This record gives sequence, C-alpha cells and structure tokens, in this order.
Amino acid sequence: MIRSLVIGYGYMGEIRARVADELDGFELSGICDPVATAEQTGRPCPHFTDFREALNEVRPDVAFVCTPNNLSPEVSVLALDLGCHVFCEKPPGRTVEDIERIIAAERAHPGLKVMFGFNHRHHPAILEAKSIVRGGRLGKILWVRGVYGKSGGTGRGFEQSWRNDPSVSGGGILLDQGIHMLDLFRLFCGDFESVQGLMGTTHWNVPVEDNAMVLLRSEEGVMAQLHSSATLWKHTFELEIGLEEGYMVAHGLLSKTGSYGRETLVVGRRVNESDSDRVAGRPGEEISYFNDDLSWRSQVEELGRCILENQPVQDSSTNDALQVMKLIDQVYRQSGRQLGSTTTS
Amino acid sequence: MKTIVSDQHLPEGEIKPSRQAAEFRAMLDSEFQQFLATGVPLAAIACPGCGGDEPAPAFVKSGLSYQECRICASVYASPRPASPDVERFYRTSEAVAYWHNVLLPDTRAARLSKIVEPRARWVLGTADRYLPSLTRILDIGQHSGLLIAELLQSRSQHFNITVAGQLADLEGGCPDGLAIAPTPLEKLGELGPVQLVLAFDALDRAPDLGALMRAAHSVLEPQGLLLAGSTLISGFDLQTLWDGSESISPPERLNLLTEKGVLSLCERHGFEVLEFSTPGVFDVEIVQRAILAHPEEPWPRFLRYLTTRCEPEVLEGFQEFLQKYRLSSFARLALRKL
Repeated sequence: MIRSLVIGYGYMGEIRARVADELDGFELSGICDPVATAEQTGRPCPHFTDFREALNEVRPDVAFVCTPNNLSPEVSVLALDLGCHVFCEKPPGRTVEDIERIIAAERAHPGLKVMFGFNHRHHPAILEAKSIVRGGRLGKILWVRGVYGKSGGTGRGFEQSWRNDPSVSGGGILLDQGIHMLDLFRLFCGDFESVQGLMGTTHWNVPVEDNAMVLLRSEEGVMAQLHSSATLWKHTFELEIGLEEGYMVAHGLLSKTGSYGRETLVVGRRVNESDSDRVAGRPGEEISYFNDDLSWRSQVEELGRCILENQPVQDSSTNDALQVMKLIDQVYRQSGRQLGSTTTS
Repeated sequence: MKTIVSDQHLPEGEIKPSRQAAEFRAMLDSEFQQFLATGVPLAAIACPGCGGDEPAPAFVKSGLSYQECRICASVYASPRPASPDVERFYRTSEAVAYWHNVLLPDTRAARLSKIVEPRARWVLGTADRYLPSLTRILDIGQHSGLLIAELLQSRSQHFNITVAGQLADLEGGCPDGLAIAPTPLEKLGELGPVQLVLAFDALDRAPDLGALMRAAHSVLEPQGLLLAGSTLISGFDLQTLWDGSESISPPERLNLLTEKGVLSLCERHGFEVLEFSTPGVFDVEIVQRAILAHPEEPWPRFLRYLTTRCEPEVLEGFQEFLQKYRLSSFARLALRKL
C-alpha cells in the first residue's frame, strides 16, 4: 500500500485526495492545509496545518504537493529529503530556478520518483491522438496549433486570485494554463529549438499577462503555435495537429464543470482518389466523443507503477517540467518580463 | 467509453442495388417460411440483451415471431430455431448463395472502399491504441473475407488471423492460402488464446448470442478485445419502419438490441465497453425511400416534411445527429475482456 499525504487542499488537492483514497494500492494517510479541517474535507485521516509537521509525522510514501506555486519547490524538496516520492502539481514553481532546485533534490535521492501534474497527457482525446500518431497511419506531424483559455469570469474574483499575484504564482495565464498546451506540444513534437513569443496584459487589472502568443519550431522542423488567454468569452481547449495524411483536432475537456465542452477528437483523412463525392478541402471526418475522464487516476497509477517496479518516471518527469519552464521563461524574456517578478527586466 | 460520428457519404444502393436486394429478400423470405414449415423445432428464449424474461409480442416476420423486451426494449425472435438448424438453413439456402455469388461480387468495389477499408482502419487503429503487441486475431464474423484481406494488406505489424466463422467456408473473399476453419462456438476456446476477436455481422445473427459472447470471452487473453458490428432496433429507421423494415429478414436478424440491451449484454458477459458508436449512414435514406415509395401511409408529419421537403444537407445533419446520440441502427463496438 502506498501511503499518501496531500499537501494543499484546494481544487487540485481535493481531486488528489479523492484519487489517493479510491485508487487500488494507494491509501490516504494525511491532509495538510492551513484552513481545511477534517470536518470540511469529510476525510477521516489525520489533518495538519503545517507541511513540515505533516511530512515528519506521517512520513508518507508519496507527497502530493498541491500548494500555490511559491511553495511547491520548498515542499517538494523537503519531501524528497525526508525520503518521500513526490507528485507535484504544475507549474513546478515560479521560475526555472525552482524546477532546477527540485531536480537537484531528485538527483540527491536517486531512488525516489518525481512526477508533475501534466494530466492533460492522460485525457482520452490526447491518448487517442497520440496512439494515432504512434501508429503512423497519418504520417508525420507537420504542425500543431493550440488554443487554451478561459473567460476570467465577470467579477473581480479573477483579478484577486493568487494565480495573478506574481509573488505567489510567478506568472499569469501562460504559466498557469498555457503550460499544459506547451507540454502537449512537446509530447507530440519533441523539444523545440526555436521560440518566439509575445504576451500582454490586455484587459484585466492584473500585474501578469492575460494573453500570450507563442510560435515554436521543433528540432524535427515541426512548427507550433499557441494562444493562451484569460480573455476568451468562452472557455476553450483546442489542439489541432496537421499530418501528412490527415489531421486531428482535440476539442473540449472532460472536467468537473464541463465548462470546456464535451471532449472530442476529430480525425480527418486524405481523400481517397476513388471517392468522387469528395472534393479537395472536404475530407472525410470521424468525430470521437469521450465520456470518461480517467486522467487523474491513470497518471497516479503510472506513478504507482514507477514506485512499485522502481522504474524511472518517463511521463511528466522533472525534465518535462524543466523544458516547458524554459520555453515559458524565454517568452517572458522576449516580452521584457521576468518570471516571478512584477517588474520588467 | 467513446462514441464515433462519421460523415462518410454512402448511398445504400451502392452496396445493395435495389433490384438485386429485393430479389435476395424475396428468396430468403420464401425459403425461410418453407424452412419453418418443415416443423423445425423452435424454443422460446429470454432477452438476449439484458437476460430479462418479460416479453411482449412485437411482430411476425417471415413466419417468425419477434418479442419486445419490456425491460430493455430489445426485440428478438422467440421462439427460434437452434444453431445447428440455422446453420443447415444457411448452407442449403439459394438466397444465401445468390448473396455470395451475385450481390457481393457486383458491389465489391463499393463495399471495399466505403465499408471494408474504413472498417479495417478502425480495427487497426483500435489495435494500435489498446493492443500494441498484437500477434493473433480470431475472426468469427460473417462476410469477413474482404475485411481480412484488407487487414493483412494494411498491417504494419505482424499478426496471424484464424478464420473460424461457422459459415466462413461458404463466403469466400479471403486471401488464397489463408486457413479457414469453421468452428462451433463450444470449441472456439481451443483456438485461443488470442488478443483480438472480430465478430462483424455476428451478434444480430447468432441463434445463441450468450454462447457467442461466452465463446469470445473464453478465447481471449485477459484485456483482449472483441470488435463487433451489429444492427440495433433503437436505430432511427428500425424504430420508424418497425416490422416493415427490410433490414429485418430472418434468420439474418434474430437479435435486435437497443443501446441498453447492448450495455447489459456486455456487462453480463464480462466485457468493458471501450467504444459504442452507431456510425450508420443509411437510416434517413431508408426512411426517405419508404415514405416516397408509400406516400399514402400515415407517416408522422415531421418525418414526411423532413424527408421530402428538406435540403440534402439537412438530411446529412440529421443522420449525424443520430450517430452522435447513438440512434442510428448500425452499431460498432469495441469491448475489452475484464
């Protein structure tokens, strides 16, 4: 049984606690949060308000680090130093230096596993798209294009969120949400050698970016384009992949509220020459509609497998986190900004 | 579980030319009624979908009574002949021979590009997703010769296919040199274990659907897949036309399940549903043709308006709506052995 401690019981902490509670082979051994009480969480395990005390008391096998970004590196490093495996939410801190600290601790404890919460990799449309790419039937990827964004809401809640306080979050929408899409770009395209980005604070009264446009080129020559936004009128997730023999569009996300729309994957294929009903520009399409989001479970299951079989973490690893943070850092620098700071560099 | 919608354009006439299809149905109807008149034993069964035993008379087709399950609304022939008798019918039927010798060859090109190639892509894509080390396939479907040839031609990994459908030796279409070994369901387990079972056009035709599901389960490795296609009574054209549907032609459609019936069937036999789609493309066209052929019938006004007054793109959109909500009458299933 893998004993688990959830540190930080906000939106993500609640999800991780549920998974750790329900998943075979895992056991929820403690929750640490400055405000959430046992009465509020409804979970019978020990509760703590200080993460140092929690880690020392519980001595879990895995620490689920679900804290705001400014705390993630410190909590993760302490957990590793105390001999715990770590599952840390994204982003892995506020800056590149933060993830480098975690990597240094990981290297100091080579038997321990570290995984980050890039759960979008495990969404069914993405798994299906990856399987199609791996099967090779649509040929090589030529380009990818992603839009990921939200409306930011109608009141002042968004502006006052800790996610827009750079001393806590380190950055704005690109670091908070765009990081998922950049991670997916890397999943499909590999590492990027060229990055050009623009970001701006276009609407909200926040000291971080509310929009970012990023262009990338991979080492294989695949081009990618991202629009990360907190000023969309409608919550949107869309990843389009152009290949030699067809294309795919992942749209919507299975989520607790369903606000990103039903998760679908459109697959279009090159028109068969014998199909006279088709004309160029109107290929046959199939749309898959997905009903079950197993992303939370499957990612933690994968961590459990790595722990039990003592296998290296290949998926959502520290290197994945480092590379994606480097991309974001470059965009920040090109925009005259600095991760983790309100001032321009 | 996922559901797939396809926007493929395919008029039914391309794969079932109306004159030949009518000739086939007339022959089959006549022969099957003669077959029943010989006094072949019939036995009542419970619902092949949910297993419930609350039948209500639905209709009689070609002399065979169909019941509607009060629990899951599936429709099934009961009482019905046993498997050996049905097999004997198929093996001696002139209608079935006409299907294989005339109708199939005449429509081969259209079937290949519009049905077989997409189906093969789906099989291989599903295998890519769930069975990355696929080595052994068992086919127990009907009319699967072209599909098997396409699979062998398109494969990117090496796998063997065993053709074990009980009528596979009648059907042809398999590549030369491929071993064809029609095998009774009760002996199917001896051919395993395999990672993938193909059962297209088998679920709705099976005289003993439970036996087919048990056999598929027994021959599969743990986590192995059963891929199947079948006709659903919950589809638009079958619900609209009911006993007037040309798709219901015993002994070819003994089990006409609903979505609920299919899900119950899978659960009862130890399968997880990975995909349940109804990517059928003929529903609206079939209803339209029936309304145009029999305008004097008291069709619901909306259906008459839809099929006679609306533009083709509206009909295409309506067919896509049926697919999206699993209301087309052709179902595609990807099931995983639990």
